[in-house]
Amino acid sequence: MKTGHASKTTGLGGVILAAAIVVMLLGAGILLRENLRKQEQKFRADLRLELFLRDDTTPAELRELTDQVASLIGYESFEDQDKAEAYARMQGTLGTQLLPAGGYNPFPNSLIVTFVPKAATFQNFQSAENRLKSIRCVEGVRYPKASLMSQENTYSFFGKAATLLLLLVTAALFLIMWLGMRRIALARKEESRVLVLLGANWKQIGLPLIGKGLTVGIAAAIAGLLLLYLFWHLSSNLSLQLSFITGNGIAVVAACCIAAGAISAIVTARSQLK
Amino acid sequence: MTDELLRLEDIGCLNDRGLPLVEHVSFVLNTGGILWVTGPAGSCKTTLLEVVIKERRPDVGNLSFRRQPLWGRGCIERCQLRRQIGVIFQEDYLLTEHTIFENAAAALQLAGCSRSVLRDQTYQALAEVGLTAKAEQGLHLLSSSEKRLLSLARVLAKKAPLVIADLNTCEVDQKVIAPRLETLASYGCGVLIFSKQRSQATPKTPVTAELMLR
Repeated sequence: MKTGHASKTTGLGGVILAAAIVVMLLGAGILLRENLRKQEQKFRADLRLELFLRDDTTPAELRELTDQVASLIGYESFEDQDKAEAYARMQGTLGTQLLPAGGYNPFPNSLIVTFVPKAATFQNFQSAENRLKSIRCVEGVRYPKASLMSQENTYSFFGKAATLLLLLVTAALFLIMWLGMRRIALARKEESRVLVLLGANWKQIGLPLIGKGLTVGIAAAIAGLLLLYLFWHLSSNLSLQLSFITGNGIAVVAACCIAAGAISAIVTARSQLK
Repeated sequence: MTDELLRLEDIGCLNDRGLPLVEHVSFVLNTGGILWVTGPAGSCKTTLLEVVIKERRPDVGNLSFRRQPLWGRGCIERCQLRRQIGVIFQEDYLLTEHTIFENAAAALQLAGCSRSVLRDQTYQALAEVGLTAKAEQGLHLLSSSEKRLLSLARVLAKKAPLVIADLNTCEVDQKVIAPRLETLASYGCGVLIFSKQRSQATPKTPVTAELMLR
């Protein structure tokens, strides 16, 4: 004889379907967040801090400067670019007509500093600028201040909005799972009551329900991720350059789903034994 | 030799408004003893039964089962207590989606009985109440009298040291179940019967006592 909740599939399909849709939304949120982060990393990886040096910079001063640069937070590498090289580069970009004639080179020697993408923040750049511009051999410091600030604000806004939405979707997932488990438990309420009166313990009432919660959670995770993959595949036809969620993202979605199933089943089972 | 099975000392229960439902109920039930708790409708016999099976906590008084206090203990102990008693409720409390055999065996299965013991004891109990032929059928085929007999079979199969019954005034309860329960006492089982009145079908024996609720 099967006791508890093991022998009935009341409303399981409906719960799985509803949860799968929410899981898909959760996955979509994670996908967008991951792609946004990737975009942000790419933007930060392209950022450079340019230090323009005085013409009379001595080798000792340059050594001291490079030591200072190497000690900056998030420092990755630097490139030494002399004024002839800068002139040649600019010539390649702008052509000869826009540059001064007569062999005069207006470009200074420079150091181009690269930071690890994580550390390429406005705050770090500003602090580096403040620290380095006081050095005698540094004539000027340049980085895309305005664009960095505006991009950071944009990423921060979308990041917070995405986090909030993900939290709401996760809450919705827990709510749907809980309501589903309650529905399943209600269909078995009379049976559970009889079993409790006959001496059923927590294990005998709760475990079948937790098993069902885990099954619903796993099934919803699989169905939701498959739906997400389908929509992602369709979106590639719209020439959206989005990559599918990473293994970590899939693990987060699956963990959320399984946890939602298990927790809601435990809560429901506990209320049945009271 | 008789051992103490169940002791109630000065039990009292209040309703939601603080008015007394049950007051100053005390009794001791020994192994092999029979106690009829009688009283008219509304005398809170079922409330007292709920107290005994740990479904309800008394507001005053002490209870003990086999000299162990019943209250102040948790859910696990409640399960253990219920596994040691067989109860026939006023409502049948049967598993509607299971077969007659599964219903009769439910308490044994929850107690973790081995398959062979479960099968033997359950079929023996079903034979005693005349339901063997219907063992594999569903509950919907049973009349209300047969459902009462199935409740009796569930208790008989369990072979519990204490049997509690909340009997209706129907014929099957008074003329079949009550006398059968009284015979259990001769095997050393304590029997506690809640009913409007003592069944006329049961002879008064030295081990029979009656407690009247107002």
